[in-house]
Amino acid sequence: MFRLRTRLAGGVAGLLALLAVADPALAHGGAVASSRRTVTVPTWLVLMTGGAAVGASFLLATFVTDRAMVRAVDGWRRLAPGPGRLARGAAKAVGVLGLVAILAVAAVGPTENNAAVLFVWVGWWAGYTMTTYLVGNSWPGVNPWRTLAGLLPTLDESYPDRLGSWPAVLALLALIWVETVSPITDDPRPLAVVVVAYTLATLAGATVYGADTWFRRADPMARVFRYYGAVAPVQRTGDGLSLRPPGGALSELRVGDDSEVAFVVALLWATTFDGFVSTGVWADIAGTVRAAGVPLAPVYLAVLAGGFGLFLGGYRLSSRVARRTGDTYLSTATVARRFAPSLLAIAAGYHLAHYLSFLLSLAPAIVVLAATPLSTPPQVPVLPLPGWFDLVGMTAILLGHVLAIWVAHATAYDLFPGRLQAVRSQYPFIAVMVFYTMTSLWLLAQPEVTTP
Amino acid sequence: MSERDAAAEDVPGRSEQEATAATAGPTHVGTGPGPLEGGFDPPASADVFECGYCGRPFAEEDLLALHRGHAHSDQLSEPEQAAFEAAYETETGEMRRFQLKAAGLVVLLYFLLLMVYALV
Repeated sequence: MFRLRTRLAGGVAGLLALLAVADPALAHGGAVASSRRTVTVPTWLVLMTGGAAVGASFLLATFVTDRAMVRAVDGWRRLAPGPGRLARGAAKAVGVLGLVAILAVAAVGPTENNAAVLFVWVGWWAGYTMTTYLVGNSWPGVNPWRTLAGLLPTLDESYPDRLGSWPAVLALLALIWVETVSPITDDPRPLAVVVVAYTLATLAGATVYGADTWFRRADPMARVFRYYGAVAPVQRTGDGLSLRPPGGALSELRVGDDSEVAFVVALLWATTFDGFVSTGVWADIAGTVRAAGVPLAPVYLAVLAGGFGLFLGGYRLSSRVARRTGDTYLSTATVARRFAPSLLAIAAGYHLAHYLSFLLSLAPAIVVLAATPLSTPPQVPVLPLPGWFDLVGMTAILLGHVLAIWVAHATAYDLFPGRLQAVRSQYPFIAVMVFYTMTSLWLLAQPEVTTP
Repeated sequence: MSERDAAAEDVPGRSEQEATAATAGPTHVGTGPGPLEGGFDPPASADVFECGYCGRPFAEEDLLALHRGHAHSDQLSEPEQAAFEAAYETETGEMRRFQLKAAGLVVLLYFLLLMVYALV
């Protein structure tokens, strides 16, 4: 969501310019943007090194051929008691009150530097999401819509199975599209409208099909956090919490059918798309398109849908190739389903790379704005980040890929009886991962621009 | 599936966790999905070596022997056990050769990058 970052950071930094707080350089081009572009190594070399690091991780992983060891690493866990009744009640209250507060502040608060806007995009979409893959998925406890749906009667219609999880895929892509083409990332009023629309749709769905079914199958946000949560070390089990190695739970995540594979790919594509539409390359394309008199909203939609198709097609193709290199009779769909969870580690690493500097630089602003939600405060602080902070993002991307390589390795050893067969089955996925590492490093190294 | 995982299924209102908590952990014995899940799609015109214990199809006899040894180790007949050991032995040799190449490739990658960094 570079686009969003530019806008928000630009807005806050614009205010800063008036107040002349901190570094004057911050006032130009946005706080986040100015802390970037400090890599002294040429971009192509960064990409090459990243790709080589991922490839080398795969080669090193092939030395782990002991099935018992793979099982031991993945199966390691420590148990802890789960949250008590009080904590669960508090989480629900925080969720519902938070939703009400966001709606209220977005509806009647100031239109500039609105606390609700900052809270939704910086606090929730960037910060909270990070906790779901770095710590554990607390969304089922916090989810205000789930709490509200629990208060409503339910018709318990049976969910049409042929829909699978496609409604969630479409809803996720639709939300990403609305986020890029509408002003909801800086104007609180349209944001309130979108939140109300989402609330109505979710509560209607949960009432018709039952809350459990709805949030398990059709709701996009619950699924985003559930999938990200599978990367996290803390997992919820029937009688408490269990601590796992990061990514350890991924090999148990059941990606049930083609539509769920599509959701995993959509999650990965969503963040990539946000990165892409804030690059100079895209700004040039969009400028040309607009000069030709074509409205931009459908163009964004076409790029979003086309890129998603490309990602999904590429993944399906690698699954088909894996079936051949792995010399197996597993169906292409089965291979695609089983290797899909490894993509979530990549998605998490990429999310962290994109949003960490954004979150940290605007975190003080959230605190200040939250204290005076209904008036524009005289001063909004922004944390200036040092230039080396770029390295943190690159490291996150690499770590995500290395984790994905391990998860794919463990999956292959679960699927295939031959050790060499398991290694060979990963060839196409590794090729895609190397390519994707380089793509995301390129996106990260691009100077952020405000695109039309 | 452990008892703990089974318990997760019985907790009402926890279905969001079911996907991660309630599935059986992977065994890493190379069994993959059960034959009943329709997870296999053997081509019509190719040789299929089917496991006599669970019905999973394999593309090569050696892979079937390995599968039997890993997944059905407590049920094997003597010739099956011998076939498993032979296949495992062959595979170990192949794996060694592969790892040697992999190690060489890692070293090559490292020095190539080192030289590029020195030149840039």
